Amino acid sequence: MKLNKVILNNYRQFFSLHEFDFSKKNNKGINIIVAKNGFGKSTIYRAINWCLFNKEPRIKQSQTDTLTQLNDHAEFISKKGDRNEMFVEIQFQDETNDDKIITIKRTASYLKISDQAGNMSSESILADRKIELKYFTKNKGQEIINNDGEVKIFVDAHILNDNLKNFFFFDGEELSEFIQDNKAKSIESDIDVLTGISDIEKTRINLQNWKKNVEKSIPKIMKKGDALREAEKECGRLNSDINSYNKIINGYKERLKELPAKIDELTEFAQADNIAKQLNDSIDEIDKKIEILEIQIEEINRDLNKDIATKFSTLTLQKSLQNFFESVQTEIDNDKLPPPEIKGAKAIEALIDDDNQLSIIDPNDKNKKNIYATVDWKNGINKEDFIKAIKDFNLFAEKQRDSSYKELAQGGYKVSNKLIAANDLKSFEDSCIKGYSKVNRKKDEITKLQSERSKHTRNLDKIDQDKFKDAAKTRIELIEEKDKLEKDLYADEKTLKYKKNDFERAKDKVEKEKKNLNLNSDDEKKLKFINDCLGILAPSIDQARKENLKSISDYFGSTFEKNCHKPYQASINDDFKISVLNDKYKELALPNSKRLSEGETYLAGFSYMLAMKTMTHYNFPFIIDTPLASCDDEYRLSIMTLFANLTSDLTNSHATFLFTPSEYDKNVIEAIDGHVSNHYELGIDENDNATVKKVI
Amino acid sequence: MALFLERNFRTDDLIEDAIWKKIREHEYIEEYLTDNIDISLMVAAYAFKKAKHDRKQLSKINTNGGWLQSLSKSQKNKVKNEERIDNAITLMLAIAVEDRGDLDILKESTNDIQSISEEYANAGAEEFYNLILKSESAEIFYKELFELITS
Repeated sequence: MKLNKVILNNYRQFFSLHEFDFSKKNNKGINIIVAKNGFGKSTIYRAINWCLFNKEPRIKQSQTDTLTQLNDHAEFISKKGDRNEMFVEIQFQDETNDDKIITIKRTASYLKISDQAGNMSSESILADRKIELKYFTKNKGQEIINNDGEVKIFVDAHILNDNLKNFFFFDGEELSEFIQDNKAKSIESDIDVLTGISDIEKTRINLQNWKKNVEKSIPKIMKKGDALREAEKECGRLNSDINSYNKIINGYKERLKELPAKIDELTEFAQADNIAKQLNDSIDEIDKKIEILEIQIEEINRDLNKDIATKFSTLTLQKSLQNFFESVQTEIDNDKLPPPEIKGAKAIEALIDDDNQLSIIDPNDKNKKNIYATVDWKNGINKEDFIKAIKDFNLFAEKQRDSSYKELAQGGYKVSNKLIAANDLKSFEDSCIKGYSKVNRKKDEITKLQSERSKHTRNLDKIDQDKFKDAAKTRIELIEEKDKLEKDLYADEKTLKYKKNDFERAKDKVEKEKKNLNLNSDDEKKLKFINDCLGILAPSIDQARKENLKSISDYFGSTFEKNCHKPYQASINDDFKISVLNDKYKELALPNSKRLSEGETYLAGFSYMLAMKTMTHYNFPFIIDTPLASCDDEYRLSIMTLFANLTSDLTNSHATFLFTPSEYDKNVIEAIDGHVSNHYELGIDENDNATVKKVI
Repeated sequence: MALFLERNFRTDDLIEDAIWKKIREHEYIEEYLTDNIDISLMVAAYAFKKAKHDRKQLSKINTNGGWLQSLSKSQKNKVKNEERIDNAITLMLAIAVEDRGDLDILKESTNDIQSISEEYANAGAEEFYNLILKSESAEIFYKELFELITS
């Protein structure tokens, strides 16, 4: 595909209409535009991109939609209500078919809505945007496409794929940075895009996405399978439960049929046992009563006994006390308490004989006297004095005795009076008789109770208690069993009912899950198909990628090595990294790009781009902005010589270089001399609009 | 007033172990009377009532018959004890006066007064003990005593 012509109208710096001829003449495949920075060099680069892809490199998409694209001067000089048309038109010629001319024109129209002369703030609005693609074929003649989407498809298919444009439109500095970054992922991606592997890769990704979607339902299938198994398991479990419950319930029912008759059989015995029980209860009750009465008797007796014991002496001697009391009373009344009989003093007096000898008569022989001592009177005291003293003592003793007698009589009198008063025999007697009567009554009561007890015992002896007792116990157990069975039966029948309902539900679930499984069997087929496709695709992609990598690597290596001024070996490794080896030291020059000079880096970049271009069928021309900014003279010569040879060797190849004046030096001129088909110089006028001068 | 006697109530040592001790320790007695003097006087009263003038002189003296000193060791129960001692002495006085038939006995020493009760008690101890033994229960025994009181 040849780029013949680019026409700009009111596009950014280019006021009114400007036409650039890029057609190849006499196999001269190089176009050059030389312009200082800001003079519109990159604007041409952007204009081509915008026209083809509706995008301007290095400009945000939002700014493309604004008025920035419309030439300021054109807008300024127009009046309110005027329409300004801005467009970029590119003409291509298919070199494989000279008859096929393709023209793409992208237009934006603006309406001036405010007009104040000389006022730069005047405004326009975007009124209309349109695209028009015309192509001419021998068979069909001219055809026009106005739809943006269709134009895009056409451009992608016949002119340049959007994904590949970076291989044809590029900037020297960007290319240098790309080489320095040396990103394996970018290189792999570039190879995929250029060789069409990315399209297959897209297919593979689509297949994988499809697989994921299908697999989303596959787990469901698995779950449904599980659910079916679970449901079947539940069904089995419930069925087993139902059978168990049925057995249990039948057992309950059979037992419940037997029980009433058995209970009835034992009723008579139970009644007899009840009588025995009543008799036993009565006997127990009597025993308790007797016990209580006996305790009561014991208590009464204890009180009586204590009363008798403690009062016995006083009450028995009541009459003597009375006599004593009365005797003392008489003495007191007559005021003559009898004098005491003094014995002691007289006895002592009698012991002293006339001879002043103290002697004691032998009690066994009254006639015999034992002389114990002879009184030796001293201090003038004689026998008479002694006798007198004893007599005085005796008198004193008499008085004392008299006093003691009176005291004893009077004391006893008082106490006896008190005792007589406190121990009234009659009331004591009454109290005791009353107590004994009570005891007797209670004893009678006991006798009566014992008689009753004997009667009960006799009746009880007539009953075979053990037999009846066992029967009654059995009957109670049977009744309890019956009650329990009835309750259990009710509960189990209820449970069985629920179980049956659950079983029905589980059966429905099984059927439902079976249906679900059948419905999803198609998914499994799909998955198999996808896996088959992926099984074929994945290895093919890897294989193709390897083969393409080898071709590119070879081309890259040979181009670089041929033009490099040092004996380096260059290649693209299997890990998609550019490698440049120093031949002498075998040191890795890349990816450590610092070892490469700027010129070598540029050369590597251009070698890479050219290698990539060989892998695509697109013969779109290179459009390279500031290609040699940082290159030294030698590499400028080498690189431009490379392109000069390339464009002349390959009939379909051509390239447009957008140089700054400093780049466009004698080396460049020398290298491309004789290969330039069109040469333009851009300037700028007083209105800041670009001026175009065609040199060649 | 506190009447005064000089010594314990005496029992005959010849029958102390054989009779007196058994009387004191017998359940019919032990449950209701705990002081020896009360028991001794009970027997003395029984004997005096049953066999008046049938006294028996102590052949050998034992002093386990009961404590009779007027002074109480326990100050807390002093009044109560004094009253009990007074009662006991009065009963002995009554026996002595009844035995003699007049108050002249009071002119003699208090030992003599006390001896009269002792002699009665020792004379009747055996019979009293026999009464205990022949009674099948305390109730019967005390009923006998009750009848003796009221006779």
